[in-house]
Amino acid sequence: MSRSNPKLTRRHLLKGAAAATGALLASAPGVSFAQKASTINFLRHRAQVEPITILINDSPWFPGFEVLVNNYVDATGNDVNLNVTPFAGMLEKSRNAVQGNESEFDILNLNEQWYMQFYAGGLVKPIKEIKPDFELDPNVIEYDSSTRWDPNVRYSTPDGEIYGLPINGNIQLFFYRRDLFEAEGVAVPTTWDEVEAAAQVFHDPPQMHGFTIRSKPPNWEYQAYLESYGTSVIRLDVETGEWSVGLTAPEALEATNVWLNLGRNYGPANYADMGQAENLALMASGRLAMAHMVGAAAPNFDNEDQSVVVGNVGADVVPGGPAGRATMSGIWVMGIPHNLPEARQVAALTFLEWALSKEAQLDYALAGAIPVRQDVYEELAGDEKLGWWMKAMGDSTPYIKAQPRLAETPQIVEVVDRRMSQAIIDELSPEEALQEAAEEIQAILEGGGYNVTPLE
Amino acid sequence: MKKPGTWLLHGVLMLFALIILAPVVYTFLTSLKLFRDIISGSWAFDPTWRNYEQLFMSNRNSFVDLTRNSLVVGGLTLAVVIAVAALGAYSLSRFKWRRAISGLVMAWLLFVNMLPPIIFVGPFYLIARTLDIYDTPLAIVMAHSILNLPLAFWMLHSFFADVPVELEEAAAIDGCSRLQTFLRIVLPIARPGIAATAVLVFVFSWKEFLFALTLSSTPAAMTIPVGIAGFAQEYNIRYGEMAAAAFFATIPALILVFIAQKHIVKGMTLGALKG
Amino acid sequence: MMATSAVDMTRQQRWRLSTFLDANFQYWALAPILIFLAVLTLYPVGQLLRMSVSDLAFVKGKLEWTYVGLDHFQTLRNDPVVPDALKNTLLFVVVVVCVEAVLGLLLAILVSRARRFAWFYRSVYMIPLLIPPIAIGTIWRLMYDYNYGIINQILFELGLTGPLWTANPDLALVSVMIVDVWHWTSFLFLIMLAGVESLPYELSEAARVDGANEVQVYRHIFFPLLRPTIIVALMLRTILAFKVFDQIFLLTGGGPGTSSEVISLYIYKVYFVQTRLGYGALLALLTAVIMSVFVVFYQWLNNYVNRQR
Repeated sequence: MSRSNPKLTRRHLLKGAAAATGALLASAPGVSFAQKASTINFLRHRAQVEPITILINDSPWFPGFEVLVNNYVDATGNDVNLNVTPFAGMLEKSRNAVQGNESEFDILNLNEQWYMQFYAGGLVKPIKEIKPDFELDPNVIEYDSSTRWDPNVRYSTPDGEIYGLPINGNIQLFFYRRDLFEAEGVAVPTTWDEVEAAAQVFHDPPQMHGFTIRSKPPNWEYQAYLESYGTSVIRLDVETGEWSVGLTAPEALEATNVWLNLGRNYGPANYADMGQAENLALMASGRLAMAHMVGAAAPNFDNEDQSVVVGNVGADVVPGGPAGRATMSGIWVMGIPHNLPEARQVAALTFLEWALSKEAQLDYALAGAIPVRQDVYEELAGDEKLGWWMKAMGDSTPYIKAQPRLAETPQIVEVVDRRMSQAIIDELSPEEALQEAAEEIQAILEGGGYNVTPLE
Repeated sequence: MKKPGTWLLHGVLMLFALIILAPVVYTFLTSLKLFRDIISGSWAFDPTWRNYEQLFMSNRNSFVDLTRNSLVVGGLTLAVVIAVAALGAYSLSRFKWRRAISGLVMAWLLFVNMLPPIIFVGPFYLIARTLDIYDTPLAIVMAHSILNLPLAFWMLHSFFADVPVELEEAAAIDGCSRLQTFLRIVLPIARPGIAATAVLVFVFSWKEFLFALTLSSTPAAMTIPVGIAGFAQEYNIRYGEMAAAAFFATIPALILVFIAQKHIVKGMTLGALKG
Repeated sequence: MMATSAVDMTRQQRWRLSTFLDANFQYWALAPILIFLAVLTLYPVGQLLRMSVSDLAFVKGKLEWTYVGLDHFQTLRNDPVVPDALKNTLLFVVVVVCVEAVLGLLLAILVSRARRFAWFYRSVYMIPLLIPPIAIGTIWRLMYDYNYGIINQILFELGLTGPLWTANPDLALVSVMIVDVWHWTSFLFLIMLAGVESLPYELSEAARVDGANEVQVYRHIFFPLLRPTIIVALMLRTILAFKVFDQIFLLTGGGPGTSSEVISLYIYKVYFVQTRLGYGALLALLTAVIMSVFVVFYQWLNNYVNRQR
């Protein structure tokens, strides 16, 4: 092109800028090539906000998150950097980020195990302080108020301020071998008793096991049993602000006995050391008839490389007890660190709002991640590939229950893990285990300065 | 000259070599399997290179970067630790010090070594940020150096003690400065010990995980163990990729160890220097 | 003589400098390590001591300290996990160090006597040390798995039912010990090998000429000379064994129950996961104190052996 013409000059500049930015981006670590390519292509969209950096862990849902981010960059022209860290490092990195003068990351991915520490310490900024007129779309599932925090009660209450927004809707599902159930004419269980009945039909070790529990560590799934019997590890009387430990209730003993019975008698011989990975492997290798595990395991069963039961697994809501059904949430929320300049906070919130929109969540789910919108679940319930478990996820929403959401939760959870593990190996009787656990948790609550009902 | 004793000797050595190699071979085989083959419990499987592809071609942190970082960190740590520890160990083992001082330094080194490394994570993060070396190999070298100094010091101290004093006295009479005596007489004689210490320091740095994780943020500084940890995910473990990474990680270290092990054998014949 | 890198110095000044450095060699040789220690350890250890008598809380990104005196000692007394963790740790350390010491020494002696293939053995025996412990823990967990692990598979082919390994509370600690022996014998092997290779050859030559057989040579000449090296190696390995974390974390996580819980695991849970920094600091100090007992024992042994020389 040899014409010297003002229009050409500007285009030259733009091309040059694109090339330079391209070169810069190409050398940026942690950013996928697809992102880089799309950013260059759409450079003509004037970026509305500052570029942001998101801390995220390397996980099975990460590819889906990448797609979400790519779509965001395509649609808005805003820059996003992804900092990918092993799960083991997520908590420490998040903590370090909120300690300095300016956070390294603009968005933190907080796991349900520890998000409370960040909410309680004011380490992430309440959303309304960034955007006072922020409204959460009612279609976004809040997972038993996981988004909120009430500093007075020091707990996630339905009226609390919004501190974080969910990004990964991990709950528990009930998986079963559809082909086996159809062959034997067994109906899908809806209660633990029905689970036992079905397990008796299928249990034939070592090539087939009826049902499995998780024992390494046990607390997450175990709590669903407690909830299905109408009790929980701890519960808060919102009116009086008083806490009580629920493990000494007779319902807790019933729930524990059901759990132990199912795990010991219908599971593999090494039931005392079954982690999520092992349960997943047992089902994927075709040696398990029913499982109660994290919903996000579903794509693994459909993956040719990973499972031999592709197309034969069905999913439903977790079975229940006398008090109904319950599924525990184990989600990830995204929070905006408190120690950020306002421009970056706004940029981060822009991304979060976009990420929670229906279109974004739909693509997110189709790319293999776990969406957080009810309307997306309902739409995908009919999907050819994903429908079999998307429907179950959508159906589970009314039954979602929270694990303890205090800053002291890791301590409480450790007690439950240890005591229930001792119960599994018969080191303690269920009554002893529950009693010991209750006493320890009582001490933790009292030590934390909470108002606690004395134990019976 | 093959006495029955030699057969027995090699028999036992081979047996242990096989015991050590068995899990390594298993790791290699696992790295060639798809997940469903790993958990199937059967012997037959279709080998695939897919796991190795994941190491280099996925969007995640590339193992080429990680290996480069591991080598840089390991090499620098090795150089720093050996130099610092050798000088210090020689000083404390050969020269007159008040018991209080030498005792204090050695006890402090040991005490620091006894503390669980986890308590240093916070302070080192702060130091790295203050010195602005966070997310660079230098920060990890700093952490690895202090973690390995006690071990290196105590080992070298013990090996230096075995060097005959008469040789050093002879060198002094011949007009060597203390530094020269150190470099030209003591170090060569203690070569097996130094080589062994060097191998250990490099290896400990090579496989260290905690500080490599907390002092790095991007593949600019991440090392191999951090990459491997990425395969142990929230609710499943990618065995195939992890085995591939573990096997791949062993190779550079093995090459270096192979080079170093030649130095652990008898070097000098002392007879020539005596008298 | 000295390198002529100093540009403006006169010959006399250079001579004075080199003499000064030479005379004070012992001081400036010790300086680097002292600097390292001062910069990187004084602050963290000081913090640790402060932490053990305080409660720390993260408020708005800042650490708030509250002096609580001996409260953490009280927590320690009431802690049901600590006795189990300490018992398991001590058992673990004593067993693995003994087994690895015997194996390491045996292999070092044998390898030093092998003329051919010695390079092969020396390299192969180092391999376990090179593999990152995360991978070791994961691969061994895979091998130990009851349902699809290769160990039980092989036993099955031989007609035996494999044990539950990590799922059996009585076997869990043993399973971890086996992995540790596989992993860490290389460490003691390496140090012993260096020690054996450093032994003066003429002494044993002289003894053999005088008619001593192999066993006597080893017992009366080599072992006494090796003893200091062995003791240092054992001391270092003991300290490392107390700190073993990665492989146990992945293999059993401390379970089932608390059957394989070791103190380093528990400290991780308290300090890192539960963020009870004050109590975690106390546990760390407690562990160091226990290790010191071992160290004092080793030092006493060292002195005893030296007096015998």
